[in-house]
Amino acid sequence: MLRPHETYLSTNWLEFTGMSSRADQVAIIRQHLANKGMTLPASGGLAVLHLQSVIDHVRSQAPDARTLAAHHEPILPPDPSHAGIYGYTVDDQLIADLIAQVVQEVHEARG
Amino acid sequence: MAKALKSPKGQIEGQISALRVGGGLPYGERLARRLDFLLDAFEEEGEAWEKDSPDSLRQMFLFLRSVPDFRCPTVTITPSATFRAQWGAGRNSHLAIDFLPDGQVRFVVFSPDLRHPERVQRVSGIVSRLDLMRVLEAFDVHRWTADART
Repeated sequence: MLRPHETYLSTNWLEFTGMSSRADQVAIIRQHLANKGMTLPASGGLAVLHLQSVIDHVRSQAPDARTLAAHHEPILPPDPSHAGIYGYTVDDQLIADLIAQVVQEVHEARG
Repeated sequence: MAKALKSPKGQIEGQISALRVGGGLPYGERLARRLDFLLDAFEEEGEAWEKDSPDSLRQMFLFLRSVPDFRCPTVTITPSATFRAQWGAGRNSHLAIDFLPDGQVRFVVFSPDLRHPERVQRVSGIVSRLDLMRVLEAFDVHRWTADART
């Protein structure tokens, strides 16, 4: 879910890490998040989304056939894999719930 | 007076304590345990309570008491520090309610179309908490929100 002032869903681009296994990709992402001062709760999780699946699901299921888009939004140097999913706001709760439906995996936030 | 003197967190903890000692919900203790867990996780993540957060929780409790046949929801805290209750039974039976401090609710419902079972109805909106059940009547949400014992 978004905060009121946010214009995109903050995410991280797994493939940008250059790692081949999911475990290694997620480990790098954890490091990027920690580098920018984010505290990952012991009980928290990191959800994995397949971008095209998100776009296809929302476009086909949203009442307004919403088309989302993603852009690489590196925050240098601490979070070079940072990316954003654009096309909805905090008021578009239905879109947020559609995105949640296609979460593929959830990894422990602290690993 | 007590409300004015207490921090948002203190007010929330007070409401959770009240839920435990007679909050009028059959799943009160279970819900209280979940809320305790969420409070800890929210603060561990470095998030801050808003002054209106306790009113969001109060609105959620008022709604839950008004639907005694509903089973215990899955509760989360939103990035805006409001409380959200959710019920679901599969991808196409979903009700989520975000309780705003002013008595309105932001809701999402996914429900099978009874006339065309292959279709799914998806609706969202903002209404008064007091009007929500009337709005939801068309979606027969009791099929997946009701406690099996009722």
